[in-house]
Amino acid sequence: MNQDVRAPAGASQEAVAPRSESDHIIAVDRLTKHYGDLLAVDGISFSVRRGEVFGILGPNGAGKTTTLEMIEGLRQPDGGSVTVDGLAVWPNPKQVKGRIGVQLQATALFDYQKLWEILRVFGSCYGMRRSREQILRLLDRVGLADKADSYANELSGGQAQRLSIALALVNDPVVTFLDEPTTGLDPRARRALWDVIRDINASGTTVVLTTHYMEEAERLCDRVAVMDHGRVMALDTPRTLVDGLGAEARVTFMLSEPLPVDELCALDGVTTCDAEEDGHYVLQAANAQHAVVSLLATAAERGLRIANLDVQGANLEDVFLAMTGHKLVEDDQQEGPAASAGGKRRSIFAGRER
Amino acid sequence: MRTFWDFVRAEQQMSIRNRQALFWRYFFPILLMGLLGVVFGHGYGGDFKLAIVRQDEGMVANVLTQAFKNTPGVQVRVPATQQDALRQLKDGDVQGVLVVPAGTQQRFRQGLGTTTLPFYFDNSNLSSAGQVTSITGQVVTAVGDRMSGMTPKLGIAPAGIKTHGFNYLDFLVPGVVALALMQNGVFAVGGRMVFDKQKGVLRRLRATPMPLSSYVTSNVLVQLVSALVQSALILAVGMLAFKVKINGSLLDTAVLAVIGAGCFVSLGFAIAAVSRNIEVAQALMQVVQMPMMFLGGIFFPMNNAPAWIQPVVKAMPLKYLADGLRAIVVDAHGLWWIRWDILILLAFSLVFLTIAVRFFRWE
Repeated sequence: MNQDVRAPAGASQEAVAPRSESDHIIAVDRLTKHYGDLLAVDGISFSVRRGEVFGILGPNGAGKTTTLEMIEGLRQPDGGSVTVDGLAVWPNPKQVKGRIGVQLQATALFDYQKLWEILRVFGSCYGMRRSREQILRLLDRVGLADKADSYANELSGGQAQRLSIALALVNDPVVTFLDEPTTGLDPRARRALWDVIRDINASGTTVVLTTHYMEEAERLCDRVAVMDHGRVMALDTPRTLVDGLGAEARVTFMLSEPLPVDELCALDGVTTCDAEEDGHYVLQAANAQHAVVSLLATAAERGLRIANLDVQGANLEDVFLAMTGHKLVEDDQQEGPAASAGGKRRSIFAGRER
Repeated sequence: MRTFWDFVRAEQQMSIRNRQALFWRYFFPILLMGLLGVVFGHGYGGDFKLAIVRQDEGMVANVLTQAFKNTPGVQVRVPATQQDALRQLKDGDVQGVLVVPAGTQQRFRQGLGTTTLPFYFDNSNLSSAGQVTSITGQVVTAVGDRMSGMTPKLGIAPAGIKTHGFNYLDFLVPGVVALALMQNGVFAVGGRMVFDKQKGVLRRLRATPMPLSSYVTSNVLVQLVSALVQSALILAVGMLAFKVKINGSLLDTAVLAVIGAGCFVSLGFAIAAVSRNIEVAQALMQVVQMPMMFLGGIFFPMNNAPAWIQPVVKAMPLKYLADGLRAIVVDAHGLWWIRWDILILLAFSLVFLTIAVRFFRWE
């Protein structure tokens, strides 16, 4: 099992060596950051290819935001180097900031400024004069064209995120960084935002995003770096990561009358089985199809009814669990408190840092 | 530079669109001034009632009584005894009691130095007390001068109050300008800074190539300009509605207003720098501005406040701005005359800015 896990991590080491200057837009080399005694980022190396959607997946406190901030020129690393578009970020943070787009977690904007005015003044921060028409086109890209004359504090959570993504595009960046762009959004708003991000990427902008949603990484990212405790545990396409796990499918169901677990274990393709207290049976199957067919046959033979049948393939969540021994999002960890805990942690760090 | 002016425009739009801030910035000081002006400014202005107790019926008493009767805005009563007079003072029927003691005439004739006449006033109302004492003192001195030639021979005894003149509004209006400049500097700039820091605005701006100093200076510039507008507005209303005479140079007034606004903007930055969050900052701002508002000599003069509080008053930058503005606006002094007030304000600014720079964190 362990062997399987390390395989994709090894693959990521290969990716570090840039194939050509134009192929990799970001190269991170042994980047390190301490906050007091805490090692937030532990000598990580990876590179991002031009034109891809690159995801950094990990739980709160894994070091995702710190990594991003060091690439963005917002936080000076203690060690290692990072180049963006061929330019060393340190000591050139200002030039790098001009070429990249940045969306930060939980940023408020100016009250009493209309959306298009905010974009105009931010364009000005990049030394760019934007006409209202240009700004309206940009707002249209993120689906906010009809809100051009609204104030930022009148927007819903999803709309506010779209605005902050528009801000990350205002300078026509070569690469844009999105820090947990969908955190705190409801599933519908999240999916809508994925479409926006795909469109941005389709128009040629490289996208680097962090997330602690496994689904987001799977659906959106060409490649994913799995981070935990400041280290990159694995880096590859979501598909390869899951396949590399060699994980089994998980079949859960209920029966109208109980059946001995041993009998279920004997079913074709099943490797382990378990009866849970709430009446659910859980089978791990090397071959889900065989397992389900033989389960149905057995049930029919004995005149049993099957309820709540569910078949789940392995996903990045399982990859993460296998590699780190803990879940990506703990079961008791609600969205709100988790997010605010992250914010609190950052501010404590900021205090220590300087 | 263009970025800077774009931010100035944005700042200016924001300050105009924020109705609540507009109210506090422009309307509230005028409202406050109007309220105080109506209550205290005209309360005694037209009909200061003075009781003269004539224990001596000589010429001095006659001349004095006549002089007060001839003074516009003063009504004279002549109660039979000092006791009656004091009871009327306690009841609020008169605002001052001037006693001409037995033997005054004789002493005055003999030229035995200055004759002081006991004067009682209601010191529960400091502003009117100052006013009546000042009026009485001036009339009595004038009468004494006239009767004796050159050397003052007559005065009133407990004329302990030094006022800034006859009119409470002359005192109040420059003070309200100072108060408004303080509140604006502390709340508008300092509060804004903490808000921007806590809400991540500064962080977001730091992710652009623009130096944050552009942002801060644009904020300060808009604030200083609005301080000038604010001062002009308050003075204009004071002039038109309350007949306050603007005697001094408008340019000097503007210069001092900017120096004062700069001092309180610095104070705002200092508070923003040492505050962990908006709540702490707001509490600190109140702790700093409340005592200044009441003890800084804005609504009533602090000269006759207890001695132990004087060091506290002297430690308040607002006092120097208010004193300076009064000296320029009402007494028509120049900037050189108030150089110490200006120097002290600049020194305070330096201290505040040092604190701000020392403790400020961008996030």
